[in-house]
Amino acid sequence: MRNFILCFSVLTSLLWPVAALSHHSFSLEFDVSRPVELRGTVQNIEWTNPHAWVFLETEDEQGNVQGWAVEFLGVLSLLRSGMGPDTVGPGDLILITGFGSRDGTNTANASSLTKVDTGEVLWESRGR
Amino acid sequence: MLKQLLTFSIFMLLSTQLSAQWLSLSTPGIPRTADGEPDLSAPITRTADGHPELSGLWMPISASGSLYEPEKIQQWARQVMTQNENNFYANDPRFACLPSGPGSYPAGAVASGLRSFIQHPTMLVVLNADMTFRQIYMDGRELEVNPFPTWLGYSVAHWEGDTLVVESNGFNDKTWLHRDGLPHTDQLRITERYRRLDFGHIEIEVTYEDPGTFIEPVEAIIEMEYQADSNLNENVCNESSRGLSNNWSGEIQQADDMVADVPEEILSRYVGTYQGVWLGTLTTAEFVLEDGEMSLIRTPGYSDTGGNFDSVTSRLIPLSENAFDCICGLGFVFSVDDEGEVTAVSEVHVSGAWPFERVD
Repeated sequence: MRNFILCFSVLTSLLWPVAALSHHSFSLEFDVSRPVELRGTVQNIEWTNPHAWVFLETEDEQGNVQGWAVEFLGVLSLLRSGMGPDTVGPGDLILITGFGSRDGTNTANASSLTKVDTGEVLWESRGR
Repeated sequence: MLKQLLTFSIFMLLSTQLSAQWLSLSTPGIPRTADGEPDLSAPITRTADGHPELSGLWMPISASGSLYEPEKIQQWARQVMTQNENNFYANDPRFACLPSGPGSYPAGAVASGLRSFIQHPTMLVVLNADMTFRQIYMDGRELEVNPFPTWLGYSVAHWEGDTLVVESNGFNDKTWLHRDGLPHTDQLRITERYRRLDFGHIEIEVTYEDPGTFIEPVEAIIEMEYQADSNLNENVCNESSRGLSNNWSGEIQQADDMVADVPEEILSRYVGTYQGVWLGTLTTAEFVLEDGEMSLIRTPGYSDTGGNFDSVTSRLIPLSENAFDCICGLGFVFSVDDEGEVTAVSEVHVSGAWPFERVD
């Protein structure tokens, strides 16, 4: 197992030659006891630093539309991890897992992004 | 004709990879092993005037020394460090898109530690990942006695044999000296001694003198490694329409208010060692339980807050039966299988939940 992890580390270090510039502490903004699964339609993506944002609309059980803002890595780190402007775009139906914000607003971070119609995991927070 | 064909071929080859070429373009002209990998242990190269060549892309890979010893720090500065810890380091100037200044000297990758050196006989230019720069004058000038304070300060340098000695002053008091939130005053004066050990490594011996902050001068030894086949890229810090995204400006005391009352027999199930890879770094997380309180020993320390690269111990705050806040600014969620065995823990950053498997 250890060898696997070491090999994995070497492999991923090649793919993440310069790690992400993490801009603030997770705990400053998000609640680790508030996991979220957001299924909705992409409205817009901001390819910005210090973090990229995906804006999507979800429907709750009563059919009410809710807007969510989801925080990702910064631009360079996303590009290095294989997610680019062609990966996902407005109108795509996606599923995001992550954690909701401490202040209770419709804001979350992302641990994974899956395209719903194909089931393809477009991005997830593990070395690749 | 051959030269033109070669140039055209290279152009065509490169132009087919426009989207990714600058992220990992092979660095030309560096020593490589037989299998094409950068040869970081090759001999140092020298400039035309005979001095060691420092130009290139560099990243600190370790930092240690008395800079990290609390007993060398005056009481007021230790209190500020405690305040910074208690609000998850929200006051880090970096989080406000302000320069890290001398705080970037020992900073690792996550804290914008990547830097490019451009060496000229009369100046060493340092381009930092946070889009700041240092001009280190090597034209014989001396430091001013009382310069106007700035974020990056003023620097002059001279060679002592193969060691480049850089002296800096004129810093404002708005930056931290490392990621544990160590403040300083504008009396700060820094001496860096750069030695290129081999092609791939530079050792910097840094002395910090600040009678307003330290009981006596302190030092740090910073090891830097050459970053081949990579680039320093644009990183405009505050371009998002969401601003700086510090939606919640709370303190750890508020997190304490959220504390879940988790029985000790449940906490004890999480005690153990877990390993995983976070952004290319093999990371070991050991969880211990003492007097009913959970702590994390993380190796290497989370460089957002640690600044050094050794193990760092941090208190954990239970928010639910399996979810914890770490005062280091990370979240942790333990995974339990159907038989009640704790199999893994996710280390949660803004960048997502990174899985670490249980190894002990």
